[in-house]
Amino acid sequence: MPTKQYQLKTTTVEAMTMPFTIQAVLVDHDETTAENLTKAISRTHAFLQQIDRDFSPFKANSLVTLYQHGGLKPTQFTEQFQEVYGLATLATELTNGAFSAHYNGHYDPTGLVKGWAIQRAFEKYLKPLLELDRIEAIALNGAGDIQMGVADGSDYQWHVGIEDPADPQQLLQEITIQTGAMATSGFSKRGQHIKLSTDTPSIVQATIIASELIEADIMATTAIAMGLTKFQEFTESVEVHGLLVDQNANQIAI
Amino acid sequence: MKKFIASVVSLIVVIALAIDGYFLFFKQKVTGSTSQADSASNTATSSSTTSSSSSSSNASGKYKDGTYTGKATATQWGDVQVQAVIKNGKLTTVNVLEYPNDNGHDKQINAQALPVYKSEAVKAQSSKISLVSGASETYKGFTGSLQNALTKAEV
Repeated sequence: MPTKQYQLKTTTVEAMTMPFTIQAVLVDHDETTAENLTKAISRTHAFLQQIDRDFSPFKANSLVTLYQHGGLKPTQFTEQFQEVYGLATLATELTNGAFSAHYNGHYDPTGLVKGWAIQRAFEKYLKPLLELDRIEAIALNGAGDIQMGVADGSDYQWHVGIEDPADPQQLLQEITIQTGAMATSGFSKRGQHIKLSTDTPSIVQATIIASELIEADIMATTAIAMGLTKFQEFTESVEVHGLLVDQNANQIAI
Repeated sequence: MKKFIASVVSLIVVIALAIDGYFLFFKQKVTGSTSQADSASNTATSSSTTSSSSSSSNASGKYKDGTYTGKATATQWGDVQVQAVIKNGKLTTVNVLEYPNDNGHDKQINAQALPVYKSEAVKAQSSKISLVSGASETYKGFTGSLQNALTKAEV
């Protein structure tokens, strides 16, 4: 059987002041497929922007900001707000408090929202495209956190590179995966509400592979927050897979 | 006498089933209750009294003070349901109700099948990589990133 000719189509959109990369693998070109893809991409973009409006702690009128100041109206207690709140509570419990949605005494689910939004956008707008004959695979990469999938019975493999925290132009590992999620958290970058603990070697970068991005994202953040020793203890009772990089640039597969 | 024992036994069975049913369907754990109003300063509370009279008329009396329970959301760790406490037309406290996964009396972190994947050190020039997972998050930083370079190379 001859191998199929795949065509990769990449679109980048901006939301939450971050780049979101949507990749579609097409088997063939045709107008209907292109139209469907364009529509799904603009819906994904609109969804991510709506999530930003509602959940950004930096926006004065977001639901999160209003809630922080005790000014959320009952009508603004949306299903999404409820879902994120519930997930944040679960995540805190599951990680023995290492993952926290409270910062300086305020509710701030920022650490959860991106992964959640990517997973939900993927499930809602992109995954249905896999039903189309000419779309073989689809992925949504939100600044390094990825939810990806292939059509039923497809042999397409996503090849994902893990960035080197010491030099983001270099890659450490190549992961091949069909359907699943991958999240990477690090120390060097934005939004670090995490304090380095000195009694345990630190993890500089944590990449976690899971079925769903919500879980991968929570675990990647947890790894950074816990540090190496505690996180390795934690993973004895919890199934977590991925690649950790410690402060001495050692790569630790878990 | 035999009949008596039989009916006692069946009575015990019925009671056991009822208890089991109670634990299965009705027992909920209330956790994660936080009160924003408590942590917010008193000034916020006093200023909200004035605005709340107008906001409660906006809401056309639909939301009276009390507790409102939202829809349950299914997660991989069990269902969660969030409950809001409304005071003076404002949402003050959120409670989280949890329904642990079916058989366990406690929830487990991983009930999910792990995706099948393969991992290897990157070869010198792996042209197959199309996605990059990393911790860089700003849009500015992205222009110089590997993901962007790969995207550009493709066109």
